[in-house]
Amino acid sequence: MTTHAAVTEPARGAGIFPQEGHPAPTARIKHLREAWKAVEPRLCIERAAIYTRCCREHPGDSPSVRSARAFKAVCAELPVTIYPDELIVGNPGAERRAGSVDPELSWKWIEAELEQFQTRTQDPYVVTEDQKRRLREEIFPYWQGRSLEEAYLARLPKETAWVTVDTGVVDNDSKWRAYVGENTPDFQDIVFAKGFRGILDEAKERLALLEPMDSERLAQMEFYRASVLSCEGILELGRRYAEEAARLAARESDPVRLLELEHIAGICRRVPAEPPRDFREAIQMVWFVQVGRVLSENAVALNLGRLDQYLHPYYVKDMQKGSLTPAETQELIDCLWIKLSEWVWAVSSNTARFFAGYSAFQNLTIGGKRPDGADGTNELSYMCLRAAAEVRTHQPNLSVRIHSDCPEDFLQATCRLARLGMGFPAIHNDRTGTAMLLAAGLSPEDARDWSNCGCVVPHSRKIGEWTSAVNINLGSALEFALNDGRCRLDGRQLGLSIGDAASIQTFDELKDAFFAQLSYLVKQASIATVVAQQVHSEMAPRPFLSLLVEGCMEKGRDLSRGGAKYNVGAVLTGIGLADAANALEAARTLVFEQQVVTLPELCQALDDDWAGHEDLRALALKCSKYGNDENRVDSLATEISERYHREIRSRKDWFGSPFNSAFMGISNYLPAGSVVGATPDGRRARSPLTEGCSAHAGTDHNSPTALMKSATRINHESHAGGTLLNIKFTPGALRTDRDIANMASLIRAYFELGAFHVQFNVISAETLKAAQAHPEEHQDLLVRVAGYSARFVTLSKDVQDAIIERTAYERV
Amino acid sequence: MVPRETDPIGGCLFDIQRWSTEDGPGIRTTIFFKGCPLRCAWCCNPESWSPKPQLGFFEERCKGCGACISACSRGLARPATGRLDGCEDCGFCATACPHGARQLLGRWWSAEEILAEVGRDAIFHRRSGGGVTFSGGEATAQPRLLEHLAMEFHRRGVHQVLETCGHFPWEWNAKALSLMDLVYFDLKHMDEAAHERWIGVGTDLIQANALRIAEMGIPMIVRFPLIPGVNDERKNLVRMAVFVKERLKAPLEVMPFHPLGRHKHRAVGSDSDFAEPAPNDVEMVRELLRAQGVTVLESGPT
Ligand code: SF4
Ligand code: SF4
Repeated sequence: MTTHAAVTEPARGAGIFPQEGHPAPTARIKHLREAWKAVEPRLCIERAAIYTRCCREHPGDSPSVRSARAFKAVCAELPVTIYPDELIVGNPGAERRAGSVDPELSWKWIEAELEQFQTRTQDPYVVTEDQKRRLREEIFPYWQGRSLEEAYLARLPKETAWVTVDTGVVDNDSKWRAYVGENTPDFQDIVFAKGFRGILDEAKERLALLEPMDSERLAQMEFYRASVLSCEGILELGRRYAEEAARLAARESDPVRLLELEHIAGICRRVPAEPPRDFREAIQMVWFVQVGRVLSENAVALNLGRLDQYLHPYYVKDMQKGSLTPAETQELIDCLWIKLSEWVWAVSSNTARFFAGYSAFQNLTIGGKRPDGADGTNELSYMCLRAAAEVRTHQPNLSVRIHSDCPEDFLQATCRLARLGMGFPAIHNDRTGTAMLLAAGLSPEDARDWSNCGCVVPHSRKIGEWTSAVNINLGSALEFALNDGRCRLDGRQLGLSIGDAASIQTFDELKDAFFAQLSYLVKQASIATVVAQQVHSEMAPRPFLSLLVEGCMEKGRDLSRGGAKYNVGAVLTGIGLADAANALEAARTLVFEQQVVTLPELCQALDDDWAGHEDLRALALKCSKYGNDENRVDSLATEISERYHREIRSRKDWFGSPFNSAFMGISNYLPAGSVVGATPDGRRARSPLTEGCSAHAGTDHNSPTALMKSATRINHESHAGGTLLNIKFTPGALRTDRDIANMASLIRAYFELGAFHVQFNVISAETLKAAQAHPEEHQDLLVRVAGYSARFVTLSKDVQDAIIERTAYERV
Repeated sequence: MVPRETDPIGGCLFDIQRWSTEDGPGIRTTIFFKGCPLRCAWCCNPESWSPKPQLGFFEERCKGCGACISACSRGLARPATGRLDGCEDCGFCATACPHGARQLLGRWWSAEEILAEVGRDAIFHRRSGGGVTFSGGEATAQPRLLEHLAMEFHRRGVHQVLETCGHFPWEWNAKALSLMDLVYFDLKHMDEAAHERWIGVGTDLIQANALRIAEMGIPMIVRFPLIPGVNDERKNLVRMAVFVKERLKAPLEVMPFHPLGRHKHRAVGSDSDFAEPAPNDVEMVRELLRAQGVTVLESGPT
């Protein structure tokens, strides 16, 4: 080349809209954000204590009434606080940034880990001596023998328990040590339309029509009784906040704040009881519902659905009336962002490794088509992008739906937000999401109205589904195929004993062995799920959440028993797709084609974790790797994904719906990797596997376009549980408007190829290393761990290392 | 050497790079031809000079393992040592080197292979208004391949950009040029003697070709590599401004020299020691050219 590389110039504005500079939140938002940052995450045991007392006092209640009664008591007794500067009020804990525990689900892990909560490396919580004492004396003893965990473990077949309980090979611990979560309220058709007083009346009317004549009607009556109690609970919560706001107003000396508090009191007198009349009432209603859900279950993926769609009518009306300005709307959305970041999901240290970063996965979806097929992008969609840029907290999990006719402005603003390096938004292909839900049985209108659940699962407010039921370790399946069903690291027999490496003569035999092991793991995963679902249906009703999903009220059936309009099959997530493909490819090349090593010799090298076999490892690393648009290995990944899908669809969950497959990630590829020994592709023992459909860290050396071509060899539409692709960019590659335009085109082309999701980690390795060394100076740094964002400094060192290692597409 | 009609169509390429976003609009695939008629002392891709595959040695990667020694039939390969006289660039040592310290740079590609490789990203090209860029080395130094590819890409509706040093026989490349959607044309120096001194050839052919391209009405952007101490004096800048504005009527882009190619120089045993211009000086040069009425493009290629 005779010319010189062009030197890119810095972008004009660092903001997400080309004409703007740095995102600048209002003083109120700055104060709220500082207050949020100043508090360390802590444990709150009020809910657990009230819940336990209630159950003790009413031993004869049916599970749903018991749960609803306890919920109502929590709403009536939990301390009510309105913090300075707040416009949206309500707290799911006694303090800011508090996480509750649900001993009725599982208390053993809490007891076992109580002393380490404050000191553990991943996601520690502050816990006081008094809290520990009360837990040990008042709470745990009652739940001894009564928790869901104990029932689940008692009923789980021995063999399934052996393979699935705390092995990392098949893992569903978040489904028996915690509530399910994974729910999206129907604001449009239920909450905003009726208000909780309307819902209460409806439940009462339906109850009045029933007589306890048979088991079905008895169950329905229990459901409606629980519904009434749940509505009374949330109404009481609203009333208490109205009272508190009025009480504070009476003492307030600042005239501006006084008006605000009076306004808040007025809003809380209206919602959650009645349908909201304007934007402020509607957004407060959204938050009350969120508080109610968190109080009813401390769970992951309590999603907000399509906020820009269901709030828009109120925004338009207020604009027409002139009662609200765009700036005020922005500030309210920012306030909601802070609120969503204020509670934490309290989890076990094991779960924290799978879901690192205090993230509660409250997914909020913007953009995309409306149910009638028109483009739904509106002013609020842009404001949500801006809120993410201004507030810069780790929640909500912002998802953007992009379709071919979506405004270029919106897509580019999305890219600019991604450029800020916080790891969101997660960018989704509108059409594929719809196709996934059509395949899952939704009507075209409902399928078009999809929103995201948790990280990257296509979901809907009309659905009852376990969107992340089990993680299945594909690395283990591969290991078992080469090792007669035994773990290489500790020799445990967790797979099928169908022959070791010496018994495998051809590549096809190796592949067959792998699929046989995989099929066995899928079987165990499905058993574990069905048992868990059965136990949940008996012991863990969800009376408050059932109010929020169409179908439950109509059928008089709880969400946990299939009340929803659609029951979509539980999702079994495969981890390590790239690793399995790469490992098979390396074995094919080195053992069966080049014959530089025999399979037993290769396994010896794996047993030795490559020590003394460095040359062989160099050859293994040179073998073709998934993610570079190379047919040999990419076709293996496709074959594995198809077989996995077929295997999973052939089984049904407790509701009778066929299971769904997914290749998505939380940070699950780290713990999954930690139980897998060295693999033939050159990977070392215990090192991370790969999330979703991404390439194994550092192996996608070609280009983002090549990675995308590899990833779209996989049929995304068939994996209705979601697929994920993570691409890391350094800020240097995204400086100019041209870069942004190209990034937008890259996304559009990727989606045209049929993909579902892509996310960008825009960060320099240097910045990350600096943050690792000096966490105190990089508190703000947000990264996408896999399907979500977390503050980098809150992640454990191995998660940090994994992020640093991921390939950066630097342009030099 | 004039190629014969019976030769299979193909040529020596240094690399084909996907997700190339600096060499024309949109997302592009850039074909780096190997071989260049010029020898600019500041070139950042010296491995593209020779028209043949060539052994490269990347010192910092050499682990001293000695695997290369027995691979070389001429007894030339050894640890910590680059290409030596007598080397045939056969690449045997590169195949043997497990650490990527020895690499054979460039290989022969058939036209079919090139078309297929570029076609892999067709959807990204279409979506972004991108396409293919012929770069190098110097694409016009392999005229038969260039013409064949240009016609094939034209037939497929692919947006085509040529980056050229301008030093080529016109008639061999006229057809390919007529199919280009955009040409980046390098102008390095206006002074005949200085040009001869730094680059090894005069300016006549280059300027004549630039004028022909302008006459044909092919969109052209002049690229001016700014190298302190070589071409940054006022007299040269004014002459260039006049030529670009009056005769070519084309916009111009200032490309400040950057030292990123230095390790590659070491890899093929050549030497390059030029300083990066200060950002202020670059701005001054742009201002001066603008003051002369030249359209100076803001950032990189558009
Ligand atoms: S390229 Fe061939 S001749 Fe040159 S050093 Fe390597 S093996 Fe020897
Ligand atoms: S084979 Fe490569 S790494 Fe080993 S001594 Fe030779 S050049 Fe160095």
